[in-house]
Amino acid sequence: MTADAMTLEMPRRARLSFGRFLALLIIALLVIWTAVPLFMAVMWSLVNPDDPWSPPAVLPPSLSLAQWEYVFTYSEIVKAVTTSFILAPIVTILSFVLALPTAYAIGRFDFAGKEALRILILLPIVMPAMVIAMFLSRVFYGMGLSQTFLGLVIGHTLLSMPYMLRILATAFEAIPQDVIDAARNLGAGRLALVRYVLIPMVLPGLFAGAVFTFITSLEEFNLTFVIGTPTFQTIPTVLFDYLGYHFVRTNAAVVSIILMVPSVALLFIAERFLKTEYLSSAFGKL
Amino acid sequence: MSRLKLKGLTRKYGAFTAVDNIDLEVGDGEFVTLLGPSGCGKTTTLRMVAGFIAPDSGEIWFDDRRMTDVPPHKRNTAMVFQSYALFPHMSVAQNVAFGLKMRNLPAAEQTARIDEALEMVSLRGLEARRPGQLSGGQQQRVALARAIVTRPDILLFDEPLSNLDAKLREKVRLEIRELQRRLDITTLYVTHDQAEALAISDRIVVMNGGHIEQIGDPASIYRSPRSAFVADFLGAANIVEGRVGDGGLVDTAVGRFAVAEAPAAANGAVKLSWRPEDMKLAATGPANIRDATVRSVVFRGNFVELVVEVAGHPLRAQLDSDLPVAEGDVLSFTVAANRIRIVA
Amino acid sequence: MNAAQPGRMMLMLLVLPGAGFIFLFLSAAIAMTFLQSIGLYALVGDSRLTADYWLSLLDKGFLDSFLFSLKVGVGSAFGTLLFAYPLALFLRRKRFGSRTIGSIIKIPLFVPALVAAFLILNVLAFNGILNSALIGLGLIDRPLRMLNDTFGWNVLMIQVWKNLPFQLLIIASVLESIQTDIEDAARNLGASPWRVILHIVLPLSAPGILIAVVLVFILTFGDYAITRVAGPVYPSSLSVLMYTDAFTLQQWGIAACIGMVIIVASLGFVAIYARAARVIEGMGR
Repeated sequence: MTADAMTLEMPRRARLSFGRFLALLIIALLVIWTAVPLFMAVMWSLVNPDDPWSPPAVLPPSLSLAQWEYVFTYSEIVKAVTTSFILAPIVTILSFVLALPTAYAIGRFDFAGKEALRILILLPIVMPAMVIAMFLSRVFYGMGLSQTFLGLVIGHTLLSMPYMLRILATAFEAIPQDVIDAARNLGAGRLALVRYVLIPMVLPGLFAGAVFTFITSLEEFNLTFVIGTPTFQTIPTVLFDYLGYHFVRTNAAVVSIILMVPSVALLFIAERFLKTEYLSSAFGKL
Repeated sequence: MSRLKLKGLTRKYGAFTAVDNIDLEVGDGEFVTLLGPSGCGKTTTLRMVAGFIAPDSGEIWFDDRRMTDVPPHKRNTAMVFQSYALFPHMSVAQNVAFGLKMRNLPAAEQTARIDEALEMVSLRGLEARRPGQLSGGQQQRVALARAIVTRPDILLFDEPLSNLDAKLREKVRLEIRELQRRLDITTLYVTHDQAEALAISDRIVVMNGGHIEQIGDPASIYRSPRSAFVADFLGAANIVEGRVGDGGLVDTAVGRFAVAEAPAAANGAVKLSWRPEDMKLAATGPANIRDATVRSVVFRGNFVELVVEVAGHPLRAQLDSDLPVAEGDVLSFTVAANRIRIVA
Repeated sequence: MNAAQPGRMMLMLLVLPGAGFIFLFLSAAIAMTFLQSIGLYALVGDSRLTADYWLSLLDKGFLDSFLFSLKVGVGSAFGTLLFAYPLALFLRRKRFGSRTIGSIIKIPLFVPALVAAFLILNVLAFNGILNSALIGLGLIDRPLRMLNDTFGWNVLMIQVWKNLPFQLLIIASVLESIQTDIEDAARNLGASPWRVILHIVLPLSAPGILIAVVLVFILTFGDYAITRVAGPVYPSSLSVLMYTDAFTLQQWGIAACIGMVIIVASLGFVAIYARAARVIEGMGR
C-alpha cells in the first residue's frame, strides 16, 4: 500500500449523515411495509356501509362501527372469542406443568440423548401443522376425542408447549452454577433453593414462555379447524371462514383485528421480558 | 523524519475524556510502549493509530502523510490483538495470507512470504491447522506472523501477552523484541505491565487519565520519575512530603535528607521519592531515617520486603533475604542523596 | 453442569411429562399417517395393506402440487433472505435508528398467518391501497389485478412479509456471535468493509443463514392456511391437496401418502437444521 494509492475518504461528518439518511430511509420503508397493511385493515373494519369506499380514495369517506356491530351480531365471533379465551389459559397452564420438569432437566444437566430430545421438542413447531392436525384428528376419532374440548386442549398443548419448554430451558440454563453453589454453601436445602433461587431467576423466562404459549394457542388454526369445527369455533377459524367461501372484506378486517389485538397487547406488556435471547431460543437455536 | 507523529490527539466519550491532547513522535524502527493503568487511554490511542476510532481533534501522521481520515484498511498498519483475533474458519496459512490477499499479491510471492513469516515465529509445519487446534502460545505466534508478513509501516500491539502465564510472558516478550529488531519495524506497544515495558522498550510513554505523564527510555523513567504517579507505577516508591530547610537539606516527618537535585526554593514544600531497594540498613554512622519499627516482613525469594513505620508514616524497604529481621525490630536506614528524586 | 447430577431414573422422570407428551401424540399422528398411507385404518371401506395409494401419487396433480410447494418453499426462504440478511448486517452495530428499526421490524412476527394473508391481500386488492397509490402517483391508468395469480406471487409476498422478522432474529443472533476483534483484524490487514463481509462475516454466518433458510422452507413448504386463502386454485400446495383429497374426496389413503411426503421432507430438512445448529454452537466456544 503506497501513499499514492491512498485516497482521502469522505470526511467523518459526511459519513455520519449518510448513515443517518440511510437509517431514516429504511425506517420509512419499514413503516410503510409494516404499518400500511395494518392501517388498511383497521380502515376497512370501520367502513360505513352507507358510504362505500372505492378507489381512488385513499381513505374511506366516513367511518362507522357498523361492521363491528354486524360481526358481533351475526357471526359466531362471540362464541369463538369465548372458546379461544377459555382454551388459551388452560393450554398455557397445562403446558407449564408439563414443561417445567423437562425444561429444568434440559437446562441444568447434561445427559446422553439430550440433543435428540431438543430436536423432538422442536418438531411440533417446525413440522407442517396441517399434516399433524389431520392425522392426529384421525387418532382422536378412534379415541372418541374428535370434536371434543379435551381433544382441542391436547392438540393445542402439543403445538404450544414446545415454546414454553424451550424458553424455560434457556432460562434454567442461564442460572450460573456459582449462584446455586453459593446458596447451598450458605445453607440452602433443596426446597429453599427452589424457592429463593431457581424460581425467582426463571420468572422472566416463565412469563415470556407463558405469553408465547398463550398467543400460540389463540392463533392456532390448522388443528382447531380439523378437530374442533364445526362444534367449536375459535377466532382463527371464524377468520378463515371470512377469507374463504364468504369473503367479505369488512368482516375479515374486523375479525383480524380481534385476533391481533390480544397478541400485540400481550407482547407489548411482555416487551421487558422478551429479550432477543428468548425470541431466538423460541425460534432459532437448537 | 519521524515514522509516526501524533499531534494534539483527543478523544471524548460524552463527558469522559479518554485521550487528552496527546503529542508523540516515534522514530523509524523505534519500539515505543504506551504504559499505564486500565482506563488511562493507551488502548484508545493505539486504536486511533490503527484507524478503528476517529479522534475528536488532532492529527495522525505516518512520515509526511496525513492519516487522520484514512480508513483502517488503507493504513498499512498491522495489529496483534489481545485475543489474537485469528479467523476461526481459516487455516494458519490462510490466516497469515489474509493481509497479502487483500493487497492482491501474486500467489507465488504470497507463499514465499508466508513461509518466511512462519519460519520467523517457529511455526513451520502447522500451516494446515485451524486456530481451534492450537495452544494459546501458538495462536499468539500465528497472530504475530500474520501481522509481520504484510511488512507494515507501523506494527501495533494491544496487550498481546496478557493471556499467557507468567513464565511464558517473560520468554515471549523477548522474542517479540528480537523479532522487531531483526525486521526493524516501527512499533507501538500497549501494556499495563511495567516490568514488560521496562524490559523491551526503547522508550516508554507513561499515561494516566488520558494524558502523558512522562516519556523517556526505561532507565531514566525508572531512576528519574518526575511525578509521584510515575514513581509509584514503575516499581514501588516511597513518597514523602517535606520542606526545604537550611543548607538545601529537606526536612520530612521521617527524617532529614540531602537531595542531589537542587530543590527549588528555600522554605518551599517538596515531595521526595526513593525506591525501597535504595533504603540501605545503616549499621553505624549517619542515618537519614531512625527509629523505624518493622511492621511486616514478607519473604519474596531473593529479597525480603519490609514495611517499617517511622513517626506513624509507613515506608517500604527491601533487604537481602539472609539478614535476620523480625516484626518489632527497630532499624535505621540511609538513603543516598543521588537516589532521591523530587517529584510533582 | 450441576455437580449433583441426578441419577438416570430421576432424569427420566423429570423429562417424561414434557417430552413424553410430545412424543406420545406426535408419534401417534405420524404413525397414523404412515399406516393410512399403506392402507390400514381406513376411514371408509376396508383396511388392507396396499401400495396402491403410493402408486397413485405418480400422477400429474401430485407432481404439480409438489413442484408448486417446492417453488413456494424455496422462493419464500430465499426471498426473505434477500431482505433479512442486509437488514441484519445493517443492524449489527448500534447506531442511529437501530432500536426503532428493530421494534418495527418485529411486528409481523406477532401477526398470525391468516391475518397476514388478509392484510397483504387487502393491500393488493383491486381497490386496495397499492393500486390507489400507483394511480395517484400517475404510474398506471387503471388498477392492476394482482390477486389470484397462478404463479403464487401472492403467497410469496405474504410469506416474505410474515417471515422476515423470524429470519432476521436468527441471522442477527449469529452475526452477534462473531467477535468484533476478528472483523477489526481483517480491516487492519487491509480488507475494505465489503471484503470484510465477503471473507469474514459471510463464511462465519453461513450456518446461521442455513438455519434461517431451512426453517422458513419447512414452514412454507407444508403451509395450508396461506396457500388456501391466497394461492391459485391449480396447482394447490401439497397441504391443500392433502386436505382436499381427505375431506372433499374422502381419499384418506392418498392424503396420507401426501402427508408422509411432507413429513419425510420436513424431517430431512430438520436434520440439516440440526447439523447447522450444532456447528453454530461449536463456534460459540
